[in-house]
Amino acid sequence: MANLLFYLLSAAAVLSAIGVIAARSPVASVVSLLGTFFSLAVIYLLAGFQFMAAVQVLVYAGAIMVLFLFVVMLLGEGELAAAVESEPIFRRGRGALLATAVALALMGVGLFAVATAELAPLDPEAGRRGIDSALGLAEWMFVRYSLPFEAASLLLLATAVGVLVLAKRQRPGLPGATSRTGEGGAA
Amino acid sequence: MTVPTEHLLALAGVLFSLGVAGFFLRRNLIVVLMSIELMLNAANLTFLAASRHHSRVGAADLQGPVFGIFVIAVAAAEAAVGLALVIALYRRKQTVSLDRVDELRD
Amino acid sequence: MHEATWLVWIPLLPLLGAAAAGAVHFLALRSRARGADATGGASGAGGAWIAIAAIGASFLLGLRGFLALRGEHAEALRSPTWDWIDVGGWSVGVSVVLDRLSSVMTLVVTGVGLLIHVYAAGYMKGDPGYAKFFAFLNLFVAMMLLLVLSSSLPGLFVGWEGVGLCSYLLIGFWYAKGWPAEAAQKAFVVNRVGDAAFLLGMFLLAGLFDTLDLSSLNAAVEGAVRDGHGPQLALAAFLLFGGACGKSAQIPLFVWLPDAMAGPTPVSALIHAATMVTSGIYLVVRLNPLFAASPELLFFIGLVGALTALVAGTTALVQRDLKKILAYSTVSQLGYMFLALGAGAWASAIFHLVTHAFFKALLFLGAGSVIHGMRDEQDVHRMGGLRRHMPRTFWTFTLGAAALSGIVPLSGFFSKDEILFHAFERGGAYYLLWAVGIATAAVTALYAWRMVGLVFFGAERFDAREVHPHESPPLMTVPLVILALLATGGGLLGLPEVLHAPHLLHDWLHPVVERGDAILAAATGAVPVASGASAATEWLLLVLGAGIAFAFAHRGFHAHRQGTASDERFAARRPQAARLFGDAWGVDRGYAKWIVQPVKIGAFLVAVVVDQFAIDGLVNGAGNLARSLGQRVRRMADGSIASYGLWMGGVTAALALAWIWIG
Repeated sequence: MANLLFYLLSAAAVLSAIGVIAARSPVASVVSLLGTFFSLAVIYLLAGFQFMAAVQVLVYAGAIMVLFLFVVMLLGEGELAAAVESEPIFRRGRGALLATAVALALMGVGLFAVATAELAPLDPEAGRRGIDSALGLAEWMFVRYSLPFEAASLLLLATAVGVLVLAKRQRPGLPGATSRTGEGGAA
Repeated sequence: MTVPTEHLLALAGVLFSLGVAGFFLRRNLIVVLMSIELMLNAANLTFLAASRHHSRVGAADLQGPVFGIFVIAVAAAEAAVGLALVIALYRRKQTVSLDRVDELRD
Repeated sequence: MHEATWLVWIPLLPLLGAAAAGAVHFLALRSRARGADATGGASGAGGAWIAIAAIGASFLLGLRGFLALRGEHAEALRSPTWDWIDVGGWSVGVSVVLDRLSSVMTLVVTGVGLLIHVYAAGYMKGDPGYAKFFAFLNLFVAMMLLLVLSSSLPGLFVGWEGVGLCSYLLIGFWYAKGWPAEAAQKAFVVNRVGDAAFLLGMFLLAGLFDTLDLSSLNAAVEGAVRDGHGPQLALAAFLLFGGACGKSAQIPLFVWLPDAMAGPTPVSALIHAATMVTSGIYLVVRLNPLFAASPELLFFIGLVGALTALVAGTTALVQRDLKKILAYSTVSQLGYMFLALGAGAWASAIFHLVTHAFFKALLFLGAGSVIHGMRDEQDVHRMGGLRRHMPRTFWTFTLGAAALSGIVPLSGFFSKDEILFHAFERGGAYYLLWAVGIATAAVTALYAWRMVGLVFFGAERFDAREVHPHESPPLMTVPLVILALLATGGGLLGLPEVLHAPHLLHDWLHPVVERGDAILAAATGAVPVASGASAATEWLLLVLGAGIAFAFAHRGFHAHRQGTASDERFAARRPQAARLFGDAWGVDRGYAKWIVQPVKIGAFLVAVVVDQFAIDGLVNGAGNLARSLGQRVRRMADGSIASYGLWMGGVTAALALAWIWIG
């Protein structure tokens, strides 16, 4: 039963991913990505990673996608849609063919590798009760990987500062006021 | 769930490739950023699949989830900064099409 | 050996004179640049007097040394030694040594040189490089003195190279005209070939003996022969002879001397008649034990000398340029000196060297007087009848020609005849050399009196309205007179035995050459020179020589006193001979065809093909390659994020694939 669910969810994830990259309107892409995230979250759950599933939904779907949606809306979906509709959404030309080839090659190699891999047998009982737990993760995070943890917090701090500086609206007359060509920008 | 690990990895591979394709082939900057998120998710899935594969009943391998958390944190930061750049770019050039963003050319 | 520090001044004074004259020259240049007196004569005159004073002082010192040697019956005077090279237990010291041989050379160089300096003060008047000329002249004298006064072979070589350098500077003195610069280069390059041989010989000697001091070398020769180093000694001597060939213009390295006539006439007189070209003779005489140890080499030297004498003599016979006649004559007379050396008659070679210095310098200076008076005309076919216009030049020149051709009782007769006598006396193969020598004597008389006839007698073959031949000023004619006296009376230095008079030069030089004589006698079993043949033979040869000289002089004079008819007839009837002689038997042409042309082609190949195409192509090509590659790579930076991403992603994917496949 769970296995069947997994396969259904996989299909959903893949279809949503295709939707992300193929949708004409950015809003549609955002929503498709949400779909992918949710599918993945349930897959995590099925595999026994409850904490990760929760974090996936909370952070990815709940924060990051919302951020994307904010920006899409902020920039005027109507204008974007109009701009986007007048030109093809995919690139054309030699580069595009090469890119497609690379992507297909990656997919092919990946699948081939997976198909020919001889992995050790799985312990089916391991995931039944859940693999990750808050307690276990906490022990790893705050004891063994405390340094990366602190570094990650620094990263987030830097991100916050950087975003503020980058997105700040420039007032004319202040240092860093811009012309149309983008000279003397922020940062 | 007793799905073999290979299938999980296959799914991750497909998602990753789709993310790569979107990254290379779309003109819209925001969609490109989203493709990056897709790739990161695929990576996350790989980590978790490996963790599941190595776990035994009494001894759960938690390195997968730990890495996954970090990946999510970094992805969040990167998405935030990227979108801030999109906004700054839009202010200057009134566009988010990558075709028109080529001032770094020689 | 007596210590005499003042000897150092003999070469040093002309050196300082050169520096001082050079300073005068630069001052003159500066004042001229500031718009002062246009002629160099006025502002450069000081240079001449400085130079004359310097060489005069050297002459006086040389005289003092000569008298000291005679008075104290000393073997040599020596200055303190300066340690030049001292490396690894092998050392070379330099000191000034005045022995009997070098005293003779010094007196000739400074004495004749002084007369030529005085002459040049008149000849070069008005030339913008007046003081520079005298600086070069003095420098030359200093180098020549270094050559003859040096106690060691390397020191001699320094002087050897120095005179070569001064020869180059002086031949090319009027380089602005173009061809003198080429002539100077030719002289230098041909000399260099000889110098290379000299160096190799010197290295060989340095290897065989642990010293290069001349007197020590001479003393060690017999020991080395006993130790079985004979072949190596012969090789070293042969190489040194090669160097002498270059400096003294023997076959095949004589081609530079005729071209060197492009220099001013005083230069030709001093360097290419009296002094520099005699360096080779001096070298052989100085090292006579070394050469005496290889009798076969000596015969070869004599052969080269004899052949050179004949070839050059015939060439002089058909030349039209007055100075070229004298140049080939010099080559021919030098051949005589080498013939003497080949016969082991060292002192005779020196005797002829001295008399030749007298009469050849006289002839050159006289020629200079003629050319000067004829407004730089040098073609004898365009002269004629000049004896009415230049009496003093005429008389002195004629005396010089008489001495050259060996007319009794002038100096040339005695010295030349002595050489031929010694060659005859050696017998055997030397008869051939004697025959060549006799033939050359005939040719010499012919061309000498041809000169006199064409230049001073007969109708005037020039336009008297254009050219006003006049006698030269006293500054030029007084040296001519003095040299004429010396050329006439110089025979007294070496009167033949049969006249029961002492041979002054032989006796004087005896200590220097006795070792060589002894070695030669031991090697060949021949009796030492000067006591062999009977008195009758000697009388016979004397009369024969005098007769041939007189007969051919008469013929040469009368054939040419009326004009150029005889020359034209010869060219018409014997065109090949005329061409052969005129060309110095094709030696120069041979060089041009077989050596100069290939070198030029080779140089062109290297310059254009190798340097321009290959090397420049490689270097420029590398640069162009970098640039074109850069252009192509530059297209990668197109500002498109997608393309950057594609590159990164694509390469990463390829790497990953490769890794998977390999690993």
